[in-house]
Amino acid sequence: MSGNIIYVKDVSVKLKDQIVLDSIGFEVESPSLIVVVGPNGAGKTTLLKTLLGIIKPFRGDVRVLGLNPFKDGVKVRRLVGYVPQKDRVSHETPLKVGDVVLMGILLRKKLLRFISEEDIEAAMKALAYLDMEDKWDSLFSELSGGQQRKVLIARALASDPMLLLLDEVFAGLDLESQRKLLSLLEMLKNKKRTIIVVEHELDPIINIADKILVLNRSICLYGEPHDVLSEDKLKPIYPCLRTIEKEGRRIVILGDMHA
Amino acid sequence: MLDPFVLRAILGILFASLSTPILVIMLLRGSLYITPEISHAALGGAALGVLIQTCFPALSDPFPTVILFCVATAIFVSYTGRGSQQSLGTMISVSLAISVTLYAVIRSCCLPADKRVLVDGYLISDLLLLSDAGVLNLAIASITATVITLIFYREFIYICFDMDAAEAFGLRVRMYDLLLFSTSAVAVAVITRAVGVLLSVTLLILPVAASSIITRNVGMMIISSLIIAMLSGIMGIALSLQFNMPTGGTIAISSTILFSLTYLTKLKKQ
Repeated sequence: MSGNIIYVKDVSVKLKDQIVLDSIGFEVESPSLIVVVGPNGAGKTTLLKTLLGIIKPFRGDVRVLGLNPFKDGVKVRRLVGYVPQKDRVSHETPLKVGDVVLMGILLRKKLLRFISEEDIEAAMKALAYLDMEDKWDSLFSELSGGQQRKVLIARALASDPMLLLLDEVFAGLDLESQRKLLSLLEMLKNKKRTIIVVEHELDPIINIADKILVLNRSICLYGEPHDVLSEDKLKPIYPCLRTIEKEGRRIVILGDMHA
Repeated sequence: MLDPFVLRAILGILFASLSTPILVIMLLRGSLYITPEISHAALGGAALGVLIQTCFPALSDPFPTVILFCVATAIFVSYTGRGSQQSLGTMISVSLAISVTLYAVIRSCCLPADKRVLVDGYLISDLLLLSDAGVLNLAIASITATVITLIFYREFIYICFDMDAAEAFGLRVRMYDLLLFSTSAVAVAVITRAVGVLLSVTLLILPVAASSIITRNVGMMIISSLIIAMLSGIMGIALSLQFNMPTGGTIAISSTILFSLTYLTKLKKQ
């Protein structure tokens, strides 16, 4: 699929009588990798949930994969891979890693959701991308935070979706895992997949991003990295912003603040 | 050859035990503590059922009204209390107040003395007094709860594990959550019929709690809670016959003993 995979026009969202997203609009071409950054409470997760049709805006128009997610919510969600923030996952439910990854496949099936050999192969393949295939029979709750993150990413990948929405997937991953995840995302982009990554910081994802969207309830900046990454443009949004040199690379550290 | 009273009691407890799988899922959902509260709704339902039965004698058993009342309470609690733990707690208390008030008002003001015994039978029940129709009602209700649990097992587990992702992957989580609460309410009604409202907490909580001590595997938790509930029931009926006590009380004693043994075994292993 090429062309605009996401179309958002003049969208405003209220949560508990508070405006969380205010008249935002942008388009995403396929394939591409978009990084969404913004301070805490800027509406990043709300934006992902709006694209999935879980949170309905009180104004504006949203199209995902050519569909209206508020009318065809279930259809859209079955075509999109989503990795939520890990802290929403229950550790009281003793599911094995294999069961967690299969969840990403079985929820796209019809009722009774029988497991086929192909489903197990696809789930194994998704785990193998993240070097986690040997953890198939381990309890999810007994893995380290970083390993749990990888399993949730594998769950989103298992059904080979056209669009991936990743909410803070780099948090808690060690450097080696971050490097592997970056190559995986690059590989997916080469396979014509579109990826939207929500992060607090630009490093390390900035190296493979096609566009950056800086969100602070409204869209502050949206464009290619070289257009967006200037201190003049970012400083009003991130007063604590600083730039450092690391291994010959210039790294922009946004710093954190509340919206 | 077993005495028909004993046979009906054994069948009753077997059907009541069949209700435990959905309670294991409620434990994983973090909502098992709601089930004893729902069981109090059975009192209001029983009073209303007996009142209806008094007005329309063709309706022989108040149990279907008890089930409806429990299901309505579960739906009310889960729908109105979904905002936060605080609002959930408030709505549980509201439903408890409504049920107990309904029970007290109908029992005192609307029922003749001979019918009050039927309602009071829901406070502490005796399985040895179960009729053929009573066994049939328990069978229909518990098999319905079991079939729903089997069909929607994955949906329920996914809601328990990661509600956000389940919704994001296209599952209608609110609908399945309501179904989970409603099915558990049917299980609660069955267990309440078997042991009574006052002692229902022992069969609602203890077998499931014991199973969660024994294993961390969901399938094994379901099987072990089923076995513990059955053992508690059979032991309870045997104790009841031996010491001429109501089965509700002896089943409660048995399940408490089994839970304590499981807990102590775990402590010893540690």
